[in-house]
Amino acid sequence: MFIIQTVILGLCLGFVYALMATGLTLIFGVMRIVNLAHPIFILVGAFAAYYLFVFFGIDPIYAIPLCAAVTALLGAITYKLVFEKDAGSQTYSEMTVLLTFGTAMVLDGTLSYFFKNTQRITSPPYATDAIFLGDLFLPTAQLYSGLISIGLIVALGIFLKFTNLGIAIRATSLSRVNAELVGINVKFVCLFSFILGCALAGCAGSLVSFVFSFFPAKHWEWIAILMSLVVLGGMGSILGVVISAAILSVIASLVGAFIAPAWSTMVFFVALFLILLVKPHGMFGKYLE
Amino acid sequence: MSECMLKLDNIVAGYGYGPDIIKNINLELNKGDIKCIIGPNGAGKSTVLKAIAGIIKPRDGSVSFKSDDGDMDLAGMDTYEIMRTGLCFIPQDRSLFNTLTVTENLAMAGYTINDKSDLKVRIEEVLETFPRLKERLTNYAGTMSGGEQQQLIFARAIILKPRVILIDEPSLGLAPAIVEQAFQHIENIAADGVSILLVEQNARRGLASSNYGTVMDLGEIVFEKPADQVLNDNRIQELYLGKRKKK
Repeated sequence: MFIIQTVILGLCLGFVYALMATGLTLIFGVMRIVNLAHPIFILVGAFAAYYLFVFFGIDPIYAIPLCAAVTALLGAITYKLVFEKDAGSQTYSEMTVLLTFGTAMVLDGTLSYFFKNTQRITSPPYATDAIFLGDLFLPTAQLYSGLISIGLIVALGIFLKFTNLGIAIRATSLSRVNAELVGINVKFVCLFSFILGCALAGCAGSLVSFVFSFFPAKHWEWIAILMSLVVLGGMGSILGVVISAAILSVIASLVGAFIAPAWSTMVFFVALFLILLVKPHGMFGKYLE
Repeated sequence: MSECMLKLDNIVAGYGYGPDIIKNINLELNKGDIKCIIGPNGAGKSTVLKAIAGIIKPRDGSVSFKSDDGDMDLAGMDTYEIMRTGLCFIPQDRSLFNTLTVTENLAMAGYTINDKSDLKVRIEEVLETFPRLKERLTNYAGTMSGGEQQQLIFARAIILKPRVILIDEPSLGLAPAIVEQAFQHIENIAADGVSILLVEQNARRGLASSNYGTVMDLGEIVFEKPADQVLNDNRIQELYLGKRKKK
């Protein structure tokens, strides 16, 4: 029973991680931007959710669209200021590592200035509640955030697969030039995908705000975990990210439950190390081949 | 005198901040004609096509095009806008989505067609023209043979019923039999009233299928003649084999 419970909670956490990483992999897939600033967008979303809850009593789950709007707007501004100019140039990916690192530093500094290094967590009623199914003990915070995360990812998948804009996004991620040659407005698609990725970060932030305690420098820890998921899944592959997040966080939960909680995060880093050694382009990756 | 579809007027273009690669290019393409641009390496042949397609923006001059919605100047427009006007560009590297299937590639080619039932009909039509593709619908484009890929490229091009097709080096990297096939397709497409401007390294083969030949060197047009007379011109010998000593 204890194992099943650990696996379920691991899966839920995995889906939350997957949602956190989806925007990262989408932005890389479409624009080849290695967005080291992605987790700080998640944090911005989390802070938005926290203050919406504290000041206006808005439940973080209902606040998802608002948080997404906040990070989307921030994303649009960042993209216009930092990334648009050199899009499509030969060394773009390499450049963006530095640019996004800088962006992360700036946003980190700004958040630290305003919010200090206090640990925060949003506490809606269900954050401390749990469901008992026979012997299973399932905290509702994890359960809700996990289910909503996977729901949002599925919605994104449907959007990418079946809508015209989704098709344009996939075409652009396959080849910028070819997409342009079939009449796709690549510049717009890039802007839109970046905003979409940041909006997803906002959604994730809102959910994360009642699952993990957070503070402005938290994103450095997250980027390492998210990068390991994205690399294992294959840079740019959303399905890959979901599968790798599910596998790794179930393993991490089991390690946490049976060895020691302190060792659980190590699973992600060991995985990252092994993947880069054995299969550097990940499970579903095709770009680095 | 047949209708002029595409007219380049004093086009100047180059890459990035570099020097002008092509200078004062004047060129006309009539309805249903196949015009082949030949010339030595580095003459700027491909650059002309890229400048028309907007992949590089012309620095000067105009590109008048008789599009579906009337006359327009393509110079300065973005590539994706140009591709929506009824002009189609097939670059050297083939521009297929290698990791998509044949069906998906065809659907992607019709991205700009809003009426999806119309797109379905058009896909059926091109599959009639290229029956080989019908057996390959679920195969990934990247896994097909050179000849099949070639067919898919032409199928994708004609799905949009373009008025002008620009083709960069159709024979590049293909087996001789497939090259023959490619030129056969080009002639068939032109017979339907589509104008084709192509760049070809294999001058003899290119001209054999064309009505007109345009010879370029060092970024400028040297001369233009009906295709069958181009190779007999003395200046050709000079361009390809070096200058003759004057006696």
